[in-house]
Amino acid sequence: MRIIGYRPANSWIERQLDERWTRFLTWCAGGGVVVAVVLGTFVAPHQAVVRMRYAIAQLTAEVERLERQERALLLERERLTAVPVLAQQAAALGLAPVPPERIEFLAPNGVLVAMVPPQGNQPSLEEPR
Amino acid sequence: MTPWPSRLRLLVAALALWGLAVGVRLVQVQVLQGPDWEAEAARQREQTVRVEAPRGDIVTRDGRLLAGSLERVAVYANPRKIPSDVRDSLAERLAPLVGMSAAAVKAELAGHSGFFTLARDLDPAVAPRVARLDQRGVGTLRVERREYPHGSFAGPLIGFVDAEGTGQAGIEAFYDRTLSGTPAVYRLLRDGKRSPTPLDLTLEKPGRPGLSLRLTIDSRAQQVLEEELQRTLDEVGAAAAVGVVMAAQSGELLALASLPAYDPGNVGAVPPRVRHNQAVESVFEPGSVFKPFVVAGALAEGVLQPWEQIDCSGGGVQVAGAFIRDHARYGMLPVSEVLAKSSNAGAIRIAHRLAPQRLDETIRRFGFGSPTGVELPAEARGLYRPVAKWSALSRAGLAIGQEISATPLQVARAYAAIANGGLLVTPTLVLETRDSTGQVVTPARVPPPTRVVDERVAAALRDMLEAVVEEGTGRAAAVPGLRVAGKTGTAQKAIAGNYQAGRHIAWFAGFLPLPRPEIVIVVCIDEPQARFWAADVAAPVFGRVAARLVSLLALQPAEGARV
Repeated sequence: MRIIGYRPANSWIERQLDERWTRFLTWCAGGGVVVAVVLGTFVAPHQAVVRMRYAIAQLTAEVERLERQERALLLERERLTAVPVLAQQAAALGLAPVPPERIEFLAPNGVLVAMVPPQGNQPSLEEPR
Repeated sequence: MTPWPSRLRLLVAALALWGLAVGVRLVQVQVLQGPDWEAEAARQREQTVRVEAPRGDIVTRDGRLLAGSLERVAVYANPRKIPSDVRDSLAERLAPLVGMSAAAVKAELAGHSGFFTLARDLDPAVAPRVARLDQRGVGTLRVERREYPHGSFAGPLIGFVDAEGTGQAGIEAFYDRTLSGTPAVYRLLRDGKRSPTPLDLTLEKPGRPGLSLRLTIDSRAQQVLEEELQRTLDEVGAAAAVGVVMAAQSGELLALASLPAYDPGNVGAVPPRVRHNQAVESVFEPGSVFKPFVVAGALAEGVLQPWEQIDCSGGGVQVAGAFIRDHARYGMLPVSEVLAKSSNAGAIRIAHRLAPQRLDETIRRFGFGSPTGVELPAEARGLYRPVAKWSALSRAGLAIGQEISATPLQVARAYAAIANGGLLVTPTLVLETRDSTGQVVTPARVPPPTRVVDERVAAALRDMLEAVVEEGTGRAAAVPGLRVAGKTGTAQKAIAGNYQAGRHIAWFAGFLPLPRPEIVIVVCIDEPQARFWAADVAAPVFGRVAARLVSLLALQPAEGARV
């Protein structure tokens, strides 16, 4: 006889179901749901607020950076177009202030009044005081 | 009922006692000491930071930005709080942020024992990168850099701030509180590493950004004035050149220059004596530009008539044993020619018609001897003795502009009174103040003028001063096509009570266009070198400045103008 395997036949043992285990799992699941609901209700909005605050902080920093940049550019523009600088550039280009004799005024009666140099009003250095 | 075993009872009693002790401690901590612990917790969790308000701008009436601020960052270190074993690696990481070599940072850390500023004037973007180093003993401070983009243009007028950002001179000093604003106080949370986080930023005390000032100064008029004064310094050579352009009716200052000027952004480069605004801080003897006020007093008191002839013969006049010389023997001169020829003898004879008290009242009414009230610090009141301390020579001295010293601004203000019909105005520099949103907070403060002489007296003086420019010593101040009035003045400089040979002050004070003058211009050249007569030095500057302002300020010849 050749024995090819052995399997005890304990079919007479009746397995008993431990119903407390199922109850425990049910309670765990229920607890999990309650915790999830609580988290969902209270913590999630808080997290969203925290996220939003981080975003606001970042945007505020960006706005401040841009404002600083704008300010720096404004000052740079002012430096480049400073009145003495413009005057120097105008002189270099050969531009000169308009002499008064080349200016004409429109009088209230509609006549153009020219500013002609008056006779005998040239500076004299002979009688200084 | 089964009685408890004695050991169990002992255990229960012990537990009850422990519970009671815990309960009592809880009440003590939570109720009695609760507020203190709450505050302690808040102190550990929160931080209060003071955020300085940005300093306001200074702009001209035509919108040119003369002074503005830029936010910068300084990196500080405290080697005492930095463990020696991390210094090398810290120096490596810090070096690129502060723009130094690692060796230099290491040397700086080794060379200091306590708190010191490692680098200043850095881009604010550096601050979060330094914070990310997370190294105790290293941090950043927000600082503000004051910028003066126009350099030395209007420098003495604007003034400057010190390293702390506090105004030290000029408008920066006078309006320091207005410009600096009030700092805000924020409360913020700190994280587990006690580093501040930008979350839960709560404003504890609101601040106010500094207000901006819009000046009455016109940048073009200022440029013209500075250019012409500089030209005189270059051509003639002088210790200083000062000029004032003022609106005759309102007292608004359109230009105020004091050369040599300095760059407010680089004050350390000039000696302290250059840091003065000589238009308001220095006093000079007015010389002959003072003569019109003596004539004004005599006309107002009725002791002189405009058509009278004054004896100017003799080449001078004897007063209290002293002979005061004239420039020539003029003979009898009408009052207008006394001014046109600037006769000392004529002016002294007119002054002697006035009682000392009356002359003193006239001088004080024109604002001499008291500050003008302009919005600038350290304004000189001038040197002028009370009448009780006058000598027998005082009236004669005052008649020719001696025994008195005035600032160029005081002279401009007094000439404005003649120009506008007898009203003494208060010179003003600020048109309005604006908040950070551009809204006007405070409009111009214009104190009401006070009458110092009758309109008829002022008109008579205007005519006389016009004659000075038309046919007298002020011909170089003439502007083609416009009626101009003014007066030259060449004063010797008194040093330690004695007049110094070869040291003069050349003045020209005047206004245009007549018959209704709009602007007053005063030019004062201190110690001119190549030439010293006011007619040669100061009057031409007036003429050139006035001619260039004609088109800029749209000064129009009114009826009666020579066209």
